[in-house]
Amino acid sequence: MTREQVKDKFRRAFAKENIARVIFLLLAVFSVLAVFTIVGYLLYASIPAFGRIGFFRFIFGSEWSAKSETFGIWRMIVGTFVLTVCAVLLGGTLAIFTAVWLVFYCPKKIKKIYTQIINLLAGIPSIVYGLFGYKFLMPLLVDIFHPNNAGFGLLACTLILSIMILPTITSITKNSLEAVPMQYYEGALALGCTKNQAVWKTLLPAAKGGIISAVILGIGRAIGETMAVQMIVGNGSGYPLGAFSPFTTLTSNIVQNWGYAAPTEQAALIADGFVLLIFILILNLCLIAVKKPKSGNKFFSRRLREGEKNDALKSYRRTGSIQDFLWIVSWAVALLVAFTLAFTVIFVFVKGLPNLSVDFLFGKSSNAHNTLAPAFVSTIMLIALALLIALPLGIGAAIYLNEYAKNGSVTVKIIRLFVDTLAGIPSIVFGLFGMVFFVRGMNMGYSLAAGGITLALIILPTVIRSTEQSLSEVPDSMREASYALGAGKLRTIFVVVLPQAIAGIVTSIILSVGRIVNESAALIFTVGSASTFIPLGYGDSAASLSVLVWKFMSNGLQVNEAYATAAVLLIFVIVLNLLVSLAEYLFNGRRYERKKNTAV
Amino acid sequence: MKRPVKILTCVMCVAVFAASMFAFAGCGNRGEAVIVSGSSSVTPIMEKLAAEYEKTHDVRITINMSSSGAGISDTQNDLNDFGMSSRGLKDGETGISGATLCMDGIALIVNKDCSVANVSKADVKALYEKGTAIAGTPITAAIGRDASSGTRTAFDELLKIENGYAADVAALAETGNVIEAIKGSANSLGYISYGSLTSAVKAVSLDNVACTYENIISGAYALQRPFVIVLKDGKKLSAAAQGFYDYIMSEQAQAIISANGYISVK
Repeated sequence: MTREQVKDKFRRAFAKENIARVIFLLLAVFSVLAVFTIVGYLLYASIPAFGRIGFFRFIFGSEWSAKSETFGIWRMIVGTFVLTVCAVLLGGTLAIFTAVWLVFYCPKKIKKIYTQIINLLAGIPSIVYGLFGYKFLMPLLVDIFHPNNAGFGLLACTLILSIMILPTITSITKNSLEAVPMQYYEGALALGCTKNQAVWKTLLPAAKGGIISAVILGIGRAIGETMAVQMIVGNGSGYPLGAFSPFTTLTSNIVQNWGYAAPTEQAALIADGFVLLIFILILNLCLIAVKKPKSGNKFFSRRLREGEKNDALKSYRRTGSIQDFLWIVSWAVALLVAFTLAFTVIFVFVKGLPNLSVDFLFGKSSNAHNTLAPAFVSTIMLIALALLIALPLGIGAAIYLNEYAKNGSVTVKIIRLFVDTLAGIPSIVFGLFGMVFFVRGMNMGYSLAAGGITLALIILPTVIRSTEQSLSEVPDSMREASYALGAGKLRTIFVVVLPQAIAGIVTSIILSVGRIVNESAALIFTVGSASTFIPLGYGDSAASLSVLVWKFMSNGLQVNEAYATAAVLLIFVIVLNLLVSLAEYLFNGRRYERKKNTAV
Repeated sequence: MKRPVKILTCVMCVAVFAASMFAFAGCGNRGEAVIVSGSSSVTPIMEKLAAEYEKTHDVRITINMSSSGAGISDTQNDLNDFGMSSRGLKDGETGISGATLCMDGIALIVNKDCSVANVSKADVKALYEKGTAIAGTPITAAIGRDASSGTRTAFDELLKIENGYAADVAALAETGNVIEAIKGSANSLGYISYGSLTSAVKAVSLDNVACTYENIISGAYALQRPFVIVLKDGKKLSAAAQGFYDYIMSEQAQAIISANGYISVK
């Protein structure tokens, strides 16, 4: 081989590597682009509203009337604020107790099962919570308190929303409690504290930073929650003054009024969504400001998690102190949470399973006899399209973040920030964006294509985070060995690194499928709700299983079918949860932090 | 199995899956498609008509249930073949025209265990407008529909409620939600399409006129409104849509409409 030939060969190899690098960078930058597009487009679409109504009159006006074309969202802002505060106070308190119990008091044997319970609680679709609240909780509250309405309002909403945000806060709090160095505990014991005192006075404060992040994420989830809230909140035109006065939130306002398409009101609703988005963005900025908990010296401090030293956590002395009381409370809360989950699941199964039949599941569907077959097909089609788009994008982005970018560089920080922002955007905002951008702007109409692309945006952060996590767990020595054998970077990534990270990718696929199965708000806005026929292509309007629950529930004549569909959904969710455990078991040896709840 | 092989298998699976999806999308007997969208009050009868029509014709009639407002705007934006509205069209709604399918009553409903049998128009108006409990009855709360509901628009017009509802009136998104809420509350009053009335709730009389089929036909019962098919001006319906449209306006279809508790106009 001549010198020239060698040079040429190298040049080509480098060209290939450089092109690959640019491609991965572009894939990574896509999330940044997506966030900017969503914010920009929603702002663009709401400018007419701000311009016509006036920014201050829009924010601080309290009347929303299509007839006189006055649109003010002040009472929705107040409604969302009050509801969020109540739900986070209740849900957050319960969640922190649950997390403390799970880490310090939970008997080892049931720890895995209880973690499953929390994951399952996170996996139950919003619409099923709505159904549960509407059909069980509201009548129950009416029986207990005899309010002068059907049970709508703050109390019912707070209760349901607390259950919904509990898993998010619990799992992040749990992670940060487990990251507290063991010495803190031992030190407290050495100073004469009992176990309870050490837990509540030393370990819990030590995990403060993580708990604050958890609560902020919980707030984001509460603000953005749509389907369950809009069923229970009552959408009255007042303020949430009492436990049973119906009010309106920013999200329920959008769902309720979108149908009427007078352009000014539509612009006002998009502006409503934009305000919601701004709140979420502010929350995300708060997250950055929160100090990460100090984890001590990386090499010399032992974590509580590593030892699993539940046995070491013996109580030396019992006192009647307040911490002992908190210990009892945490047991009570943990039992309550488990009971709530069991009750929700059993309620839906008892009401739904008797209405299931092979014919209802797989029979031929027509306008006379709406079966679930079309919903199965359209759900699968949505999953396929969303994964087809999100997997290459997400894996590519993760590869850039972990393999190419310098760790801690500004690019990485910015991209991570935007990925987290994307993860925090509520699905109703995605729905609104999908509606104005894909359905109308790109003329797709209500179609599976529009819904699939919108879903791809929703699951993208999950895929990126999960893949990145498992890529970072591949030891550097493997990469070095590969380079030493003469492999290029690209080859190393695809032949050596990615196969090692397959577990993370599989987990992210399962989590994404769960997210898609749960989704309803975004889909109603992009795919419509046609449920009688098996869709023949991606141009068709269709209803996924979740949307079908909403539809059956809404038309008033098919409540039994709604329960039956909800039961099928729950079975799906349980199976998916088991699959995640199975994946973790199969790919044992590499442990994963499940980032599920941070991503939702 | 070696790792790369594993990955390859995964990729293959996804590819085959996707390919089959697209193949599926490409072929298949499409039949002829008709898309109808709009009011949740009109949807039940439209589904029945569609079911009947499909027995004899090879078409797929897709019914997208939302609200009258959405039905109208979908028609204006050309997102359907024709829309459904449970109220007459307004002056401001341009570019479309309406054809009356049938008439429907608006039933005032209460819980089955509620002792109330009759309410007056003034009482109902005061209840929705000001939140005033109806004297001498257990009714203290009202349940309405959202602003884009045709039932609500018609109800408000018929009772001359002009300035929106009182603060503590719940506004629910769909007919079914109203029924479910009434089922769970002994002191609430709600309103729904007469055709959607089930035995799960009780319809009360208005000014001593019972909410019955006969009284709606004779016009004695005050709360009634038209179900309107919304057509886009200047758009030619596809052959399949035209066929279905002709069918729902035919006498044969009107017989089904009457049999389901709606009032045929033909």
